[in-house]
Amino acid sequence: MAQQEDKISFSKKGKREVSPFVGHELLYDYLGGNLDSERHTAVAEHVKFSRDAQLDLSKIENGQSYAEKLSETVVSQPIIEQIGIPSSYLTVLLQKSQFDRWPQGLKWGLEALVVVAAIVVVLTITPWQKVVQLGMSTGSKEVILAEVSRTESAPIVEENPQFVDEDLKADSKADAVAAIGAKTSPSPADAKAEATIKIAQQEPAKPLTPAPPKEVDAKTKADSAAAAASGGFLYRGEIAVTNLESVEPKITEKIRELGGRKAGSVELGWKKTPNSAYYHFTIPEARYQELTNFLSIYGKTDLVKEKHPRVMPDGIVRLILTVDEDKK
Amino acid sequence: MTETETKSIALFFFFAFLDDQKAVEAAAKALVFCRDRKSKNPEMKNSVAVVAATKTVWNRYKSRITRGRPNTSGESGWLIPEGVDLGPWREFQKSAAEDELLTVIWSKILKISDADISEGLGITTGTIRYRLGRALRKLGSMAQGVRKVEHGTAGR
Repeated sequence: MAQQEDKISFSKKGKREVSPFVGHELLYDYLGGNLDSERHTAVAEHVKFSRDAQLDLSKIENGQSYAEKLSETVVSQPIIEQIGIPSSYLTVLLQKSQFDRWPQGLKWGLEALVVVAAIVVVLTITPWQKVVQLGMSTGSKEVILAEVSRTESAPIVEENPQFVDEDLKADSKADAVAAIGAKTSPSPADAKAEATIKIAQQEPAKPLTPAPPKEVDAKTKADSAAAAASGGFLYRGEIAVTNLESVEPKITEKIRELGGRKAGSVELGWKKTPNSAYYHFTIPEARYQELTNFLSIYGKTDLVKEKHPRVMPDGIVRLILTVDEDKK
Repeated sequence: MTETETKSIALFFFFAFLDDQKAVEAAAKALVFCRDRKSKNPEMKNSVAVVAATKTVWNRYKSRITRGRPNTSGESGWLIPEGVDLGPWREFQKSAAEDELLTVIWSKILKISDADISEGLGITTGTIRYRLGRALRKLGSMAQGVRKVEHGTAGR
């Protein structure tokens, strides 16, 4: 290698001159100080005598200084964040479609279209039936004219004991007093009702105060009128049996077996008097005939269909049955 | 990847495309490439990874951009130094050869060393210097023309 370097052909004056072409190409290295001292001297000599080389050198210097200034360009923080965040499908779509450069009217139109579509979807999906029902159920101005239970198993809740209302037509004065007593008592407890009845039995000859029966009569008339207006009814009747003590549990059990449920405040087979059991209950209409057949085993049953303002659900009938001890 | 690399990538595509939106889009992809390369080869210098990633994404995008039709605005977040005219660069971006354009950006704007550029591209440093010499001569002549106009010496 050393021998080869020694053989480099210099000029006659012993100088290592560069051609104009090479000199031009080395200008950038010359300016950057990347040449060895010998080459540096050679290029300097070339620049000294070449006008083109001087111009090119000036251009390179200008270019470098201009690029230096450009390097001071600042990238704002939002752009750096935007680059750093992984791009979503929507942002890519917006970028590709150049949404920012769309005409303002077109953008507003598109946004309005999206909003309208969203509203239509919400209106279509919303279950308005349920919303309206919910709104009506919370309203306080609603007046309930009649409450009809559709489920057979649902218990019938009544504000006033049914016994009071239904037994008004009973002929005996004791019963009327019992009804008044039950009505005036604050709670439908059986004990209190029994106590009232006992008082009535102890004083059978004592005339009743005229006011309550009149009130009852008026109420009965009103009920009859209401019954006439509505389509409700009930079966009312009585049966005389021998040995009430043993028959009453059987009748109670049969009623329950047929799907009967108490309708008033007292239990099935409530002892109205020691010789009388009271039944106020509902039963499926399909089992009504079976019940009458069963009752006919113990005696002649006289069930009368009466009009009543209370409307029972379809397929359900209401009965008031009094089972008395046969006096014979 | 630090914020410096992110900024370098962003600047590369801004000056290469002269298009605000496409620069951000391409920079985001290049950053992903860059991170990927670094994860595969943790010993790779960040500047080398930046060169390689920007070159890859440039190759994908170069057909989609029309050089000579800049699409930039002053409100887009690229803050050009005060008193600097982008005119010469626009002219340069339009007329320069691809390798010259990219080499000037890497070397003179992003300040990446010739050795790192050559490593990132897989070419010699001599080639890099040669490209730089040619590119700076072109850029200088364009900047010189602007300066002459500014100083009122054009045509003399």
